[in-house]
Amino acid sequence: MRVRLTVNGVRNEVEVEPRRLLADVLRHRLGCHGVHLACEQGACGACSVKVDGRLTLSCLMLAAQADGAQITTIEGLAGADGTLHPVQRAFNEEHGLQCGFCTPGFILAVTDLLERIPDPEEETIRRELSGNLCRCTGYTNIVKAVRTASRLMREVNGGAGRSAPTVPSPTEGGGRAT
Amino acid sequence: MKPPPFEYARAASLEEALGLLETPGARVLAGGQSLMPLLNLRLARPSLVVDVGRLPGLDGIAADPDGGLRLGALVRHQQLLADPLAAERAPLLRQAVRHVGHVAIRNWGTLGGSLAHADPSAELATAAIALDAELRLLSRSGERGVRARDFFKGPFVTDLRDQELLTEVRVPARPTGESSAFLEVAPRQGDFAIVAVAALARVAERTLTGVTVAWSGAAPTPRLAAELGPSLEGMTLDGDDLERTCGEAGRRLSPPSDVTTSADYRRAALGVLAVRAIRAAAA
Amino acid sequence: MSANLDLNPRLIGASVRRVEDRRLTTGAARYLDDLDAPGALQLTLARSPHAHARILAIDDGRLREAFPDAIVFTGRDCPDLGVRADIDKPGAQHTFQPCLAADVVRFVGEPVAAVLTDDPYRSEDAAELLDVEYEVLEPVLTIERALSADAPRLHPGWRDNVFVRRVRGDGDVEVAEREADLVVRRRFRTHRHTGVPMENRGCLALLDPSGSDLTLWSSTQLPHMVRSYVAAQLGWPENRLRVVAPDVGGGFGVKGGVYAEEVLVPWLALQTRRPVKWVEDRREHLQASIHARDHLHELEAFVRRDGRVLGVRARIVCDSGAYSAFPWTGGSDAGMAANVLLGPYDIQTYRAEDVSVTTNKCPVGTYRGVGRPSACFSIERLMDEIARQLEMDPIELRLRNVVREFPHRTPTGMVYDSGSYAESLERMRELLGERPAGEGVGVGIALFCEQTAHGTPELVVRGMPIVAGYQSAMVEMDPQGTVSVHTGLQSHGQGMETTLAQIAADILGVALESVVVRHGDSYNPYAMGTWGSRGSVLGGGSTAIAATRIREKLLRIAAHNLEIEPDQLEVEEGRVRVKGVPSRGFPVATLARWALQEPRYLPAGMTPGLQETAFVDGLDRGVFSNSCHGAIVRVDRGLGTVELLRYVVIEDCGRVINPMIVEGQVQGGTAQGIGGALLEELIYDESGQLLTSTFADYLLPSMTDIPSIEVHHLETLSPLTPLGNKGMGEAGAIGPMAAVGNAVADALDRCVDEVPLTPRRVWDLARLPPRGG
Repeated sequence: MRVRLTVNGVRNEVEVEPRRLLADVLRHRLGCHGVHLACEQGACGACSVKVDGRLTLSCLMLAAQADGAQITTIEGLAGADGTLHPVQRAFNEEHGLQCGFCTPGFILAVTDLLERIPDPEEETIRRELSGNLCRCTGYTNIVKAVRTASRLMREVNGGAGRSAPTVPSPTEGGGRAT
Repeated sequence: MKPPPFEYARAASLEEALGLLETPGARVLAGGQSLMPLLNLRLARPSLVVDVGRLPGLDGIAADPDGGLRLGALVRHQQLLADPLAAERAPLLRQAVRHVGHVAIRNWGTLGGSLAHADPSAELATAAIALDAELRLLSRSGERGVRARDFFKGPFVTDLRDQELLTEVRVPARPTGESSAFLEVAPRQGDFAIVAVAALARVAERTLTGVTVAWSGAAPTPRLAAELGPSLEGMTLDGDDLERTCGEAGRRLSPPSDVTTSADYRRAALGVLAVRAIRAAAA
Repeated sequence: MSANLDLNPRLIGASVRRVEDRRLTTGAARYLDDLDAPGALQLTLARSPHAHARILAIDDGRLREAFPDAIVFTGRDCPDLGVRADIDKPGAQHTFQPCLAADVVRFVGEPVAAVLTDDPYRSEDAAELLDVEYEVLEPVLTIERALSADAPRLHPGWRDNVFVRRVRGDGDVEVAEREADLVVRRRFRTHRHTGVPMENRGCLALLDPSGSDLTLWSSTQLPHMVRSYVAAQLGWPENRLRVVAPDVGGGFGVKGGVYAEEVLVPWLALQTRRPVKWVEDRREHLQASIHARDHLHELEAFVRRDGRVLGVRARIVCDSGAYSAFPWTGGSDAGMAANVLLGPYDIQTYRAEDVSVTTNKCPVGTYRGVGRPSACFSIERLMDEIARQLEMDPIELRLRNVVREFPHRTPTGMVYDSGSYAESLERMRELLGERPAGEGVGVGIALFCEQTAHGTPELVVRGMPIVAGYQSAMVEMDPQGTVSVHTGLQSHGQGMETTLAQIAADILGVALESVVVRHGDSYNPYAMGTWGSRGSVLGGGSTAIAATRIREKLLRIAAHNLEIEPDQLEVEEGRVRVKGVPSRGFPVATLARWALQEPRYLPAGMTPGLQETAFVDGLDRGVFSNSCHGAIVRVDRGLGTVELLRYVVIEDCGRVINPMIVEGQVQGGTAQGIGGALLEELIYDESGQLLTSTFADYLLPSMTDIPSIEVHHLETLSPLTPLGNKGMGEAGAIGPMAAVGNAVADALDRCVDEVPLTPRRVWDLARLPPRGG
């Protein structure tokens, strides 16, 4: 079947079997090798991309499901002149990566987080990114990278922020039993 | 792990979806967050995947004139988390759904999909049971309603018939002054719950009135803790009557055990969690 | 081994940001599955569903009918291809792990056939249609069963199910027992888990058009070791085989061995005369790569009433799985644990028996720390139990027993060159401060030292097929004055493209940007790859030595052209110049051009060229770094859940090349250790099925499971290494099971003898009667 995917601003049409995963089509048909497969179960976040602006596990989506969608992968974040996105810069600055395999997924998730919550505290960062697994860093520097990225992005936006989010707070009678 | 071969069709209308479901071996694909892992492991081998994810009109959250809430089956978890009407009329749903997976999973996973998939530890199933929600099921021969409390038959088995589609969840108006809490024990944030408790309660001067408890991990499916509610009626929050009653209720259970968790553990943990959930709701 | 080099550190010691990050953060990295070759066949392995069975027949009829283009190989086609890692010790018994099982399968997931089509989805479809008939045999699935006299023998010709049994130690343990005021006996169990890099393994083999040169890309830590082994297995000339590691998404020792697939895939390329690519999925990885940490220890400590430990007797048993992994062997974990059990303590009387058994489970290999995490768990839990029984503070007890004078020789012949054990305990006491208030709070520490950068003499003692641990570097400068470092190491997250460049840039006085590091390629000088916490010591050391020789040559060329002595010159900011007269001198690039293109400017007798190679072996018995871990937990007795409130690490690895990278290594290793303490366990059922074969069941720590890890440095230079540094790659993973175990024991006031501390285990512990009952 023919599937149309606009990836990082470029329109593509590919002929695919219904069962082909979006992740595999992005990787092997459309050259987006920055999308990584580590579990194919939706349990690790390494394959995270944006589909129509929504953070998505591309291993849990058929290419067919994404027909007509706008997709952003890690390859689409830096500027055309090579200028790094603030999140990419922050990961380097804070040593928030080692082997790099989980990193594109993390960076996509962090851009999504900072769009929703521009200035998150550590606890929020950890909770919101709990779907991305890293085996190398132990996460401490990833938290720092998110704090730095938040600062860099608020500087870029002239300090403009969005109103407080409406996610329930941890004290609202819910959460892990402690 | 790659999916086995299957056909794919995207339904543009409910009618079309119902027609496609008549194909032998057809399976519904809504958010995909439950079906895709099964496909990738080749634990599901449908002949046809019917993508209902873009069906119009099924993703709304609306007020019921009687004070309750109507949620379309395609309401995404993340949408439920942020919805002000749901927060006002059925906060238990939000409290439950924040334990479901992670952001990316919640962006796509649906209320209807979660209920139809019927994982034995599904948070939304437990909450729906506590709220006494009604599930609306549509087929070519008509529409029917099934109480959440009657819907879950076994692990991954529900009252949903072949060729039926879950279209809506209706939460009845909750009594004024009712508060809720949802607590679970899971190995990590977002994991399937080992045990979970949904509690609804009203309090007048440190005394409980109108307590409803539902739990998962107590039985092969999420279930209403039927005896627990009435036995707590009029109970004081002071002292340890609550601890004793919930503890006894837990000990009377026959929960499943598995390689990592024993029935004894679940009995005790459910008793403890019930107390904490009720106290959190009453706070 | 040379003593410390003379350094004028500028970049060395600085937290230089990593040069590899640009490609890793922009999606420009290329890992194995990102590689492909035109016309490549995609390999899927058909695998055994049984833990122990005889293969009766393999029928590919249905497969061929549905996939006429598929190519199928079975064990009959390649019976001699596989992996042997014999233990060179008396009485040791040996295994042969075939690439494709032909006769008997010995663990669930063991490959039995190779199925190749043009597409990975189709290969998986085709492999499902292979009909294999098995006669199921009784599996052996526990240590107890493996050791019982009437258990089936898993390998032909074996007397029993034991790879190897050894005894070691020194001093008279019976005397210590008689003299003791207190004997503490405990049995400790660390359960099977493994390293789980985020990238699964894979290989791609390609024969060149002339058919004479073979290239194997593999997600490996050891290109040369793979090359030598594969060339020998295939009967292929080693100088016509190249092994290249592309970007590698984590290793942790799981990719630090030679695997049967690395033999099979190039063999298939030779058979089919087409490129062959193989990538495992996560289920295959968890079932059939390597496992680790499956230890049972029985310890006795003989203690004087003032807290001095007079002696220790130990029995260490490891479940090493179905085959002996190459090159570390099935005896590796138990042998290492027995060797290092006494840790940083001055205990001279010791007797340890270690036993490695075979079972119908995935083979065990080397995962970060190897036998040390389990050994540390045992000795550190034991120390806390001793402290409790003597009603002594756990830190005080340790202070009374730690080694304080160096060098220190242990009863197993290890020699600690230097260390800061007492100092790190005192520092930990300061950092932890007052115990936080609140119910269920517990504090635990773990102190340990770690053998790093060990060389040939140590490896010979272990009786493995590999008896070399040296590293290599070839450094060259080109006519532009830019520098290439070709290292025998392979970097899979440790930042060697930056750290080795820091060293070369400092020594050659050039900018960091003008140095490129090439790693993970068997074209580079022969070396042992990356493992055993030796990269910065030996890899850095060999880079430093080679770069120093080039620097000296540049100085002599400049001195000749300035008509002065070389010792009057310095190298700074890309120039060789006269000390105190910076205007007199030459750009490094000019000197390089002379050396390579205009030799008339060279002094008489000097040959052209600017390329130096250095090999640096490890120290006889290594150099010893040390760490102290501190964990503060809150345990919920009602639910058995453990929350980590705080985690502190004090580490001492001597001179640090890049503090940021060392800290990152420690934090990463610590997170893995915490996983082993609380979450990770590979669980088999009674028929030998691995129940935890996806990330839904095998639980890696996530961002909400690990607190921000505080890392503090001490610096005790090693007198023995060129740069004064010691290894630190593994240390983070060694301490947490012990520190968290001690913290939970403290919180519950119960003996913690087993990890991981799942809610069910903690809850069971909380219900036990108090100690002494």
